[in-house]
Amino acid sequence: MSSQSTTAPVAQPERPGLWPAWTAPAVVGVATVTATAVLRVRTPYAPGSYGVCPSVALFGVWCPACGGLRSVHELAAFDLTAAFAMNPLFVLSVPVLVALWVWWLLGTLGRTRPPRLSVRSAWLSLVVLAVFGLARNIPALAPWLAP
Amino acid sequence: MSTPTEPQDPYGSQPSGSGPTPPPPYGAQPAYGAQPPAYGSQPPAYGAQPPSYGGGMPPAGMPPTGYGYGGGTEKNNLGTWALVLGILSVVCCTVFTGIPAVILGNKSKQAAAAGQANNGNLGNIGMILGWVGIAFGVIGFIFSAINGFNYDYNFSSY
Repeated sequence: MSSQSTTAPVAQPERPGLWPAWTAPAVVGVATVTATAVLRVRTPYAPGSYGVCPSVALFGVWCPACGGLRSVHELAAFDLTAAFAMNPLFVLSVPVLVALWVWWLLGTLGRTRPPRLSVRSAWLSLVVLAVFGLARNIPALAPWLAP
Repeated sequence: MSTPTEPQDPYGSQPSGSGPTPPPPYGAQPAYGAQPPAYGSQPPAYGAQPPSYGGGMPPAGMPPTGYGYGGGTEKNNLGTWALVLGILSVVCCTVFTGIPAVILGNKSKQAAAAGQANNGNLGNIGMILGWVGIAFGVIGFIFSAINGFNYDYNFSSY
C-alpha cells in the first residue's frame, strides 16, 4: 500500500512509563506457561478440581470454553487427540494465539509493527465462539464437539 | 500520511489499493472501500497506521462506526474487542477474557477521548462486562475453594 507513512512508529511510543513495553507480553507468557505447568501436574479431570463451570452447574449447558482446562492438560503432554476431544476449537486456536503473542512480543521489542486486530475480526471471533457454543450442545454433534 | 490526500484526487491517480474493486460511484469512497480487503487478508500488518479507517468500516451494521469518515475511527477495534471479550468473560471465560476486556476498554476510552475512536461507549460496556466476568470468576473460585475444590457436581455425561 502506498501509505507507508514515514511517521508510522515501529515501536509503541505511547508508553514512556516505568516498565518497558515488553513487560505485558512477558507477563502474559510467563503466566501462561505457569498455568499450563500447574494444569499438567494437577489434573483438571477431577470434578471441581479447579472450580466448576457455572454454565454447566447452573444450566447444564456446555459453554465454548468447557473442556479448555482439560485440553490444556492434554496439550501439555502433546496428546493432540485427547486435547481435541476436550475442546476442538481451543486446540485450533492455540497456534493463532501463540502466533499473535509472538507478534505482540516482537512488536513491543520494536522488531515489527504491533498486531492490530480489526473490528471485523472481533465480531467474527464472537460469532465463531457463539456458533461453536451452540453446536456442541446439539446432541447429534456433541460426540465431536462437547468435552 | 497519504490517506487524507487520497480522497482529494480520486479520479486522477486511482489509489493503488483500488485495483481489485470495481469503480464505485463516488470518488471519496474507493479509498475506503479498497482498504478492508487488505486488512481482511492480513489484518494486523499495518499496525498503528492511519489507513486503519478501513478496519473501522467493515461491520456494516454497526452504528458506532456509522459516522466519522473524516477520522477518529482508527482505534475502534479496541472498543469492539473490549466488548467481545467482555461478553465472553460473562458468558464463559471469566478472568481469562475479563482482564483483557478491562484493559482494552480502558484504552478504548482513552482513544475516544483523544479523538482516535468514536466507539468509546462500546469500550466502556466491554470494560463493565469484563469486571462482571472477573467478579463471576472470583466468586466461583471462592465458592470452589470453600468446597475444597471438590464440588460434587454430577459430570456423568462424559
